[in-house]
Amino acid sequence: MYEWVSRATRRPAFIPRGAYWLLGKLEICRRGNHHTRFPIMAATEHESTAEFHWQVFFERASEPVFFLSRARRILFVNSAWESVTGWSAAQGRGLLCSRRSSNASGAMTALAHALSPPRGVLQGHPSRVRRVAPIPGPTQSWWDLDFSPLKFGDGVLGILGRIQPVEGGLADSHPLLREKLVALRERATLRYRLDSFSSKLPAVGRLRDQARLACRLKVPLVLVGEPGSGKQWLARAIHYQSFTRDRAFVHLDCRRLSAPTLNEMVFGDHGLLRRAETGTLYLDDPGALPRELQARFTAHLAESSESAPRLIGGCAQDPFAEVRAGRLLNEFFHALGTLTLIVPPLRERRADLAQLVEHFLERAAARNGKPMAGVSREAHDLLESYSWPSNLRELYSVLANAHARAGDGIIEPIHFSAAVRLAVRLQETSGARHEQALPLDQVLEQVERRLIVLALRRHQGNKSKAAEWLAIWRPRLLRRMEALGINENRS
Amino acid sequence: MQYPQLVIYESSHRLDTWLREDVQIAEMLRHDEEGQPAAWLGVTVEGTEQAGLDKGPRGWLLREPRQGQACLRLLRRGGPSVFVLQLSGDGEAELALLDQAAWLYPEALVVVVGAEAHRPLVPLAWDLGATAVIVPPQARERLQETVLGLMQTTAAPASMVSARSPDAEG
Repeated sequence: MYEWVSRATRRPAFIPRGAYWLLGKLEICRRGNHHTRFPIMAATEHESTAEFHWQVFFERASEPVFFLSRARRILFVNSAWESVTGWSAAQGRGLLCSRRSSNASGAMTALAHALSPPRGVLQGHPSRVRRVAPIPGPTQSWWDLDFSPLKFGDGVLGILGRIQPVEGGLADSHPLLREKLVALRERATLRYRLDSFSSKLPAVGRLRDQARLACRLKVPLVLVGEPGSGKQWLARAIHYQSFTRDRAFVHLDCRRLSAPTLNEMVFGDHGLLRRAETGTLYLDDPGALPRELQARFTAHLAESSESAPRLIGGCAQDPFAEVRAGRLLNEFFHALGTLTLIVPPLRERRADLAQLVEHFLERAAARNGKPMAGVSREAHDLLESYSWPSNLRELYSVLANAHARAGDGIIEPIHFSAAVRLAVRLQETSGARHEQALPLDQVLEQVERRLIVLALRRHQGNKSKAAEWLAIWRPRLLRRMEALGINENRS
Repeated sequence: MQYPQLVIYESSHRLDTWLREDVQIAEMLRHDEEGQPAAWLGVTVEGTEQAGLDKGPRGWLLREPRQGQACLRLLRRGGPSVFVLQLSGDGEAELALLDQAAWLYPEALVVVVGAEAHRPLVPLAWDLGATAVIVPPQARERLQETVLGLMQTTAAPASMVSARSPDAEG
């Protein structure tokens, strides 16, 4: 038995617990019971009305929201969901959202496929995918779907889903783009998440915060860091989590692509700066550009509109030094470097080495087509000792080669290249030559002996005066002379 | 093996022909009909290998596998690599190959070539890590210019190549 909240009395209602039961009652509420515009309380008289406002928020949210059970059946949808899908909540409830099977009629199969959560979500990993919207229309439209698993113990209780219709961008400029290719792009962009840019180091934490700020700003920026330190990765991460994420990230290698090629690619009739699909132009080593091209970019930055592609520069050298050397135009650097982020080299991130090794070993396993191997303690020590002059790029290369050599076993120091092992050995040897042990007790004893001998000589062997000079009691001086073997006659 | 290689993956022989037509590229290429990797000889040298060691530029080995996985095996060998990838049909298979090549072998330089019908795929090709993306007009000239520039600016290793390539190119 239960009673509904009444507009007049606002008295709470008492019903049995249970999410499905609760949501079921909510659905009944929505179907027009005239008492039912207020939240229903659970069967605990101490709980206040405020705890259940989340249901009202879901209901009143303008974003289409749906809730799936662990078995991927729809438990709850809000009004916005009904509007965007064209199906009523009653029709959607119980729908099995799976790409392989469906309990729906043919018309709802496409909806079931579109709302099916990726496999990782059922294992507790949030996911974002882009799918073809299963709604009829003159042109193909797309949905961005966010799936957030709600965990319970070691498992998943349910999945909260959100639909975001894609406006313009991909839908308008990529009429031929199939869902598989969209999925391919989405998988690729997931490799560049700032959330995965975690570190124990405060400096890297600050860099991540700066990067998050860059995601929210529509300004060009410069990333400064040694070759291989991760500038391109960071530029992509900023791109894929900012307003440009639906457009392309273009990496231009200013050292390797010739000036005529770059000029045509960027400023030509079909150039990248003229295309609406270009979101970010990453200039790898902008100092390598000829001065004419640098001047053209400077002019573009001065005239560009808000919808123009964002420019990000990746500088391996100090940009101020590059300007002084005449390699980088001062005007270009200042136009490009509205925001400057410093990317630390790997040798300053040794605390993150274990995490980075695990990340790159996963990639190496895919590269070599073999299972991921572990790293022995000795091998890890060697990795920590190495100086990594080429930073993360070198770390990946070294691990990939070692993984290939290790067969099916653990990576040992012998699997690393001779160059790496020799470099570490040389570092250790040169370090040992200059580093001698400095035992504190011996040093203190030598100092004490010298002071006592000096005091005795200064006062012609008078121990009382020597003790006074040393600011200690005479008995203590005598004890220390005996302990140190100081003969008053010899001193 | 660390020799520089130019890997071409295409459904026709058109790109191979275009690249060989460029005199400067042809001079940089060395392809042994018996499948042996190219020697490190300069273009003006005939005869002794020793004389060739004093000349430059070094030779690039041209490889034309017929399967995508064979391309990845070639890239796995290491060393400077320019990978020319032609889009065909709906481009799905080639773009998936581009994704793997760019992610697993970031040191490789990948040039994607497509037809006019592939123009909508250009942004995706850039997104997946292409070094350059070429579609008409003037695709032949732009491909030649781009590949030549990449080969010239990519350093060749100093060691000689002596072993036969075991790769099954299909």
